[in-house]
Amino acid sequence: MPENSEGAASTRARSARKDVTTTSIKRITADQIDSNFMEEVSKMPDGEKIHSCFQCGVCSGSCPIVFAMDYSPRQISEMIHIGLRKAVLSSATIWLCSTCYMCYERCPQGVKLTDVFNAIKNKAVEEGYLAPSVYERMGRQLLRNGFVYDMEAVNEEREALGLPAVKDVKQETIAEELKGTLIYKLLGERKEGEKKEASQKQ
Amino acid sequence: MSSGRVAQTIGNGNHRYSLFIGCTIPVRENNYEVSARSVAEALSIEVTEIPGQSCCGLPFRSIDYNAWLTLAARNLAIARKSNSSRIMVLCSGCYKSLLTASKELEGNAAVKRNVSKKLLVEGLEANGQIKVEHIAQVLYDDYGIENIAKYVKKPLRDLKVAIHPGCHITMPSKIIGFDDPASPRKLNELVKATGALLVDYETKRLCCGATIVGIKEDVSKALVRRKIENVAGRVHALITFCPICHATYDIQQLDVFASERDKQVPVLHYTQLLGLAMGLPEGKLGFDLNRVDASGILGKTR
Repeated sequence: MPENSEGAASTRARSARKDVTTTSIKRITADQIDSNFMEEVSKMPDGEKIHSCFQCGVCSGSCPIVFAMDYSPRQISEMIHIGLRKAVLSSATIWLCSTCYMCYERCPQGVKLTDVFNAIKNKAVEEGYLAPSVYERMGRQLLRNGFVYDMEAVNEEREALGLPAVKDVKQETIAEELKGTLIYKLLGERKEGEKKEASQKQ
Repeated sequence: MSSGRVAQTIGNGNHRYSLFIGCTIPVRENNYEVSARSVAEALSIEVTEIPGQSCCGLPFRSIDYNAWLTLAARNLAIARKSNSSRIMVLCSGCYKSLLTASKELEGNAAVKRNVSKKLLVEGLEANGQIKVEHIAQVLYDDYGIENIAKYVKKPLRDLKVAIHPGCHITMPSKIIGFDDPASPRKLNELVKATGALLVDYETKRLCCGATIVGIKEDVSKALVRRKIENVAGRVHALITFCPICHATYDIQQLDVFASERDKQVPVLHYTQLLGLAMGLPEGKLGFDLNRVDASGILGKTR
């Protein structure tokens, strides 16, 4: 986000305590705000309760990964409410979520935040933001044999242990079933090498 | 191992399940499956295969909701087609994925129609009317702790253990509903049934961080360190109910504590622990494949 300067939003940010549950958004300009963003997120699967967030911060307090995030889960929720589309979709935070569901479990407002994060990740892929390369790897493998790993090498050990062999799913079948999903988009966009700006901090 | 077995009636009925394996077990955690099948066989729980099963879809929930649901529905449909009414899942991630999908399909007719169209290529129909159960649920809810107790021939009284419940076996509880995430009474009782002494600890609910191993490994290692340092020296083993949690602790510990080997804690699948208590031979419980040395535990159980 841009550095601090004058403006109502920055005054608000400065007056807030500087800990992990306060916003690190220093300055917001009108061109960063997409007033439809929260509505869009709320219409995605399990996104419907995002309106109810009252910023208590239980999500951030429950998150095992918050120490490594650029924005805390509470901040991401706040940013969705404000409509900071680009900042949310390009945030590294959304890809660090371990999907433990602790925030979802504890939210007093019933916000399914883990799945809101899933919704945002879906949207980020749809709009061409950078996703961690592990998803490309898993997607490519899935379209080969229906699993996220190569299964050819596993059957020797399984046979020795008396376990039944794992059989690959036919490529044509899995390709047909997943036609039109964003897995293809993820693989295709990578090939073209065209990516929108992203903040994957590794 | 299971073909042709006659299902027997124990506890609340007929114990016959289709077994869902997923991706992690065949690649990294065959000892979980071996021990689970051995325990099931000894308890006369009949296990049938799901021919043509694939990835449960869970990792793809992050990329595309429909890709996840299609994959999960595909596996449910195959199990249903083989006349199964109950799926037994070993992996907590697969469990959450398949269970959520079954509810999603039953709760939304439009979603169900859409997924059914995709599955037509295999002549399958999306349908959530099949019971999805974690093996811990099969053992506790269906089989019954008192019936398991009858099979415990060698109570593990010299063993101190802690459980890592893991996340997806209980959360989100509104969907899963099997056990209380804040205090997993059923998981505790399953462990206590083996005779082992259950030790409580502060970071019990901490996530294993498996999903970010491939994204930011140092973060996942920090989580492994926090959990293991909390139980090291206090227990003989950490007990898991999920192959992904198990792989994370069993593999990452070797690296995280490479120069502090005294901190390493053996990680056992629950079915390995139960198998030992039932007096099953070690060779049928896959201990050769545990990475952190578990021979000290075997010494205590002989």
